[in-house]
Amino acid sequence: MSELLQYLNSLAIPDLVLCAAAVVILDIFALSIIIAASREAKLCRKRWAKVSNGLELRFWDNHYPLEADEILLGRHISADIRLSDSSVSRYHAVMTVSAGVWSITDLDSKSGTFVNDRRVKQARLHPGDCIRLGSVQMYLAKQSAPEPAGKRKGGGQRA
Amino acid sequence: MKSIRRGQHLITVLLLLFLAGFGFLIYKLQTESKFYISHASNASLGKVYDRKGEVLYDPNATAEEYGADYFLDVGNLIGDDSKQMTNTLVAQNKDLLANFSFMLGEQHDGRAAVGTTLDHTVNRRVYDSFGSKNGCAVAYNYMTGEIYVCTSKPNVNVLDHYANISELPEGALLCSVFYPTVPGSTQKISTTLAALEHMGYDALMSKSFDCLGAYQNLGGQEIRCHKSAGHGTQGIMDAFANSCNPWFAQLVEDPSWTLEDIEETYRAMGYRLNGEGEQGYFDVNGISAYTASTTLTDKNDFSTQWGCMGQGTTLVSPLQLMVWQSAIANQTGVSTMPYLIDHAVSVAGKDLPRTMTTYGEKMFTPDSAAHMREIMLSNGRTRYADVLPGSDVAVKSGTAQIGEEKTENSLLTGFVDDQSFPVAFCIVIENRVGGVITTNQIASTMLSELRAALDVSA
Amino acid sequence: MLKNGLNYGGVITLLLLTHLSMLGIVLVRGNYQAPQDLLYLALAVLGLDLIGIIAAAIYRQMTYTLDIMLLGILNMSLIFQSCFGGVKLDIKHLITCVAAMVACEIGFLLTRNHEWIRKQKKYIYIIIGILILAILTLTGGRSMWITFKSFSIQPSEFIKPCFVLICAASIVELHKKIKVLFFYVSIDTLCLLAMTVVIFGLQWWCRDLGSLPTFAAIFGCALVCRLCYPRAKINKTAIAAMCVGGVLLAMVAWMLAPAYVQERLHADIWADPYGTGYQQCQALIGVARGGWLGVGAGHGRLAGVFAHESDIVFCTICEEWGLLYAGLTVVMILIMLTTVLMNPPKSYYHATMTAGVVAAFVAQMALNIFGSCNLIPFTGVTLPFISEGGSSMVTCGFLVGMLKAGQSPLFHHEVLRRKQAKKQKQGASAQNGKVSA
Repeated sequence: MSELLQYLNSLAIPDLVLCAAAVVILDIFALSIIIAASREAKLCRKRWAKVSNGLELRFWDNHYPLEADEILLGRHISADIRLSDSSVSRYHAVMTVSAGVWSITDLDSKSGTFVNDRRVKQARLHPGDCIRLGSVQMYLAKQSAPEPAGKRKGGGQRA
Repeated sequence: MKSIRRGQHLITVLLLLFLAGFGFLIYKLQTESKFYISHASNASLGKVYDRKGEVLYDPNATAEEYGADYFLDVGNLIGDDSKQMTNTLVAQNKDLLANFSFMLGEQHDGRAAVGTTLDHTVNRRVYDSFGSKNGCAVAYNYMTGEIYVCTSKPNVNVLDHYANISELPEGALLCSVFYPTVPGSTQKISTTLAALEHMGYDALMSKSFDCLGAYQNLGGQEIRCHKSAGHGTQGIMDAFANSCNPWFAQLVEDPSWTLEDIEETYRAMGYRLNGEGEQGYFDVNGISAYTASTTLTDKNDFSTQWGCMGQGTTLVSPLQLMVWQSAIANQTGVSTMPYLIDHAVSVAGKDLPRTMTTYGEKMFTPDSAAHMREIMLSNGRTRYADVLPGSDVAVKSGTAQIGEEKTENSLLTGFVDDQSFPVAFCIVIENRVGGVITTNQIASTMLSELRAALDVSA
Repeated sequence: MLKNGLNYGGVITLLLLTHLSMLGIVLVRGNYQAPQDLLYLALAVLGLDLIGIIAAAIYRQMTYTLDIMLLGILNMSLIFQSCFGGVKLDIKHLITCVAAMVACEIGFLLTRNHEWIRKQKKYIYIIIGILILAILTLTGGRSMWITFKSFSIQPSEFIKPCFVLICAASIVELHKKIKVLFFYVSIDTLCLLAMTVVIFGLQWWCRDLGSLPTFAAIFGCALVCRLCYPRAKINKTAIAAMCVGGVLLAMVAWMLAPAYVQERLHADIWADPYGTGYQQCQALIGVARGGWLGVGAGHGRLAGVFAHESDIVFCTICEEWGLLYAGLTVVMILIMLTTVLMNPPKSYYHATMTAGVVAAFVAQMALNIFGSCNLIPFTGVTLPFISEGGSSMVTCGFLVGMLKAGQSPLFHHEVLRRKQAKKQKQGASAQNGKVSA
């Protein structure tokens, strides 16, 4: 063992080369971690699509993907789906998900929450349901492929 | 969703802030690394050389290699790494001397070095010319600022490694060139310059006062002359050459100028008056040289008049006395700042850029400088012609009474009026009484040796 | 292939190569007396790698990068710590690394179901209360440490993850207000504020003001998330009042700060390099001496300075391994935190939790690194994952587990499905028992 060490020392490997090699390996490791993390992110998005049933809310040409397990709809600036129509309350309703099924709960709004023209306090939602908040009407639908840019317009704001 | 995204933004901001701080830290570590390494207790340092390549400091020096007292004349100027002396070239420039590069860390076989402007051979001869007397001598090029000679006695032999530090004479660890001393009659240069500035040359030349050996000033106090019989009626030229105290006391009292006039010129020359503000320093490549100070309260009072003649509370360093000469010799009223380090050498052996000449603030007008030059040259020609044969030397001498025991120091300051040998100097001999050597002799040795060393024809 | 269906062979190979390259540097440039010292270290590192990978494979998770990163950084820190002043396996640090990995899994399992952990809020308050009582009664005087023979614990470290959890839990509850006299207040807000004041007061009382910025960072992040929470209902006046209040609090804190704190804020360490500034001066000299490439593992002189393995560990690594490698280690920790951005959480609870965890790590790293290098006053806190210290390592592991929980959460329906599967299993085994009987 000590002979091996003597030999290695006698090689006089420049410090620079040794350190450079270690640094390069560490950098490649970091890069591989970043690549693995981005692959995991894709996997997690797929899983979320399963959990959330791959649904989105549509209002005119606006598409609002449902990206959290609790989504606030309202007129307030910090609402996840901001609807700037004056008939919509600041904190109008909240959507939650469980086992791929979305529910909507009214937050004591002035103009009420309607699902398929029926006023509700709390209701389960299904793909194709029409949700009306004040005079704003939206549809719950399966997520479609992304549309070309420049076509989005409407009174609502993207979260 | 929005809140989740904002949380993500918050994380991004935190990470970016940290990265920014970390980037700044790396920059700071890279640029200040030499400063850090200079504080290491066992840093590997390079050598210090004089202008001809002679070694002035070697961290591995031995008495066998160099000779027992080889560094004796520069001990408390160049210093060493022992931390016994902090106001020395090595102690203040360890970052230049460190054999270190941030790329590869400490390099024990590095080639870092500092080349100084000093001439060691001449420096040693000047040191030896003091004989048994203590004192100091400094000389520099008043056009470029290079210090050629800078030595003080008593000194310390760094090769002894402070074996008997408690037995070293007082002052051995300090180079007295940089520390203030009582200037004696050399102060009359400053007073004369003040008069030239505020009275004007013609008015000053027309001043005539009597010296009868003693003078009772307007405050009723007596100013004695060193010539008990007195010098009689004199003008400025004679009074300056005779260093007549009664004449200068009457000059200070003269109603054609005020105390504020004197203060203005003194302040411009760098004096700290009446304890105002904080003690100032010159910086000579990291070495701190004290600036002058005095007390001026009432120009009819003895203490103020005495201060204007270089006694009382007036203190000036030999270095500053010398530096003022450059403003007079160059006839600009602006001093050439002195420096010791000519250039440094990097750890890889590459010469770094040479030091450039720098100048101080304007102290007095070129006219005043030109007239002062004439007054000093006149003094030099009549009384000090043998200091440097073949060249005109402008000088002012002084005798300073020190302390309660009233010992006397002898001072000489001036410059060589020769464009090919533009040297200004200041010499101090402590406790001159009973000594054989005079300031003239030391000046003569210094200037002639220096002229030969710099290869300047007479 | 790990249980999420992705192939991690390349990543794991690079992990092993990283550690092998470090061991190679130690082999050639290291300072060791006997080759066995290096052999034991190599065996410990590679053994820990193997155990870590096998353990990660046991649990079904959506993400494994955090586990692999944690393993990578822990083993790097084991190599660093074992080389300070001379190569010799640091068994204590090895044990704390294992404890950190176990704590990571515990943290993950406890916090991945955000609905469940939110409901445990009152128990978390109780745990914090117990920890505070332990500090007040068992440490002996105004200290943060409980010492038992040669073994010591710092309970305040364990308060950090609990504090993160209650901050995150408060987010969802804050909109429930009750009327007290003339004001509408949220009980949860009051409890959280009270707990924050108690924790800050405890830090001040124990003279551990270095950890205050970490807790402040966690609280600050939670506050920002709270302000951004859709149902927060905070108006601009309230936000302005909070900002003014914060500034006033900082001014009062500065005025009441003890003399030694005020001195540290103004100290010039180079004015007294052998006195109050000794550690920092030596640390900076060590960094300079190491340069970009280091003096070699085990050849550093900082090993003789107090707290070289904890408070000034960054500088010790710089001296022996070089600023380049030390910097890359810090970047690795930052990459670990950045994976949170690549794979964001799906609930507000986890979002606030991960923000709090990242804030804690960033604050602590900044305090340690910038403090030891004299960019900010020296506070003496540990560097996450790198510094020696069992309590710190376990806490860091737990916090990473919480990060992992945000990326790999358990959703409500999955909980139900597991419960059903468990019931079915129990039913089946009961039936089997009847049949055999």
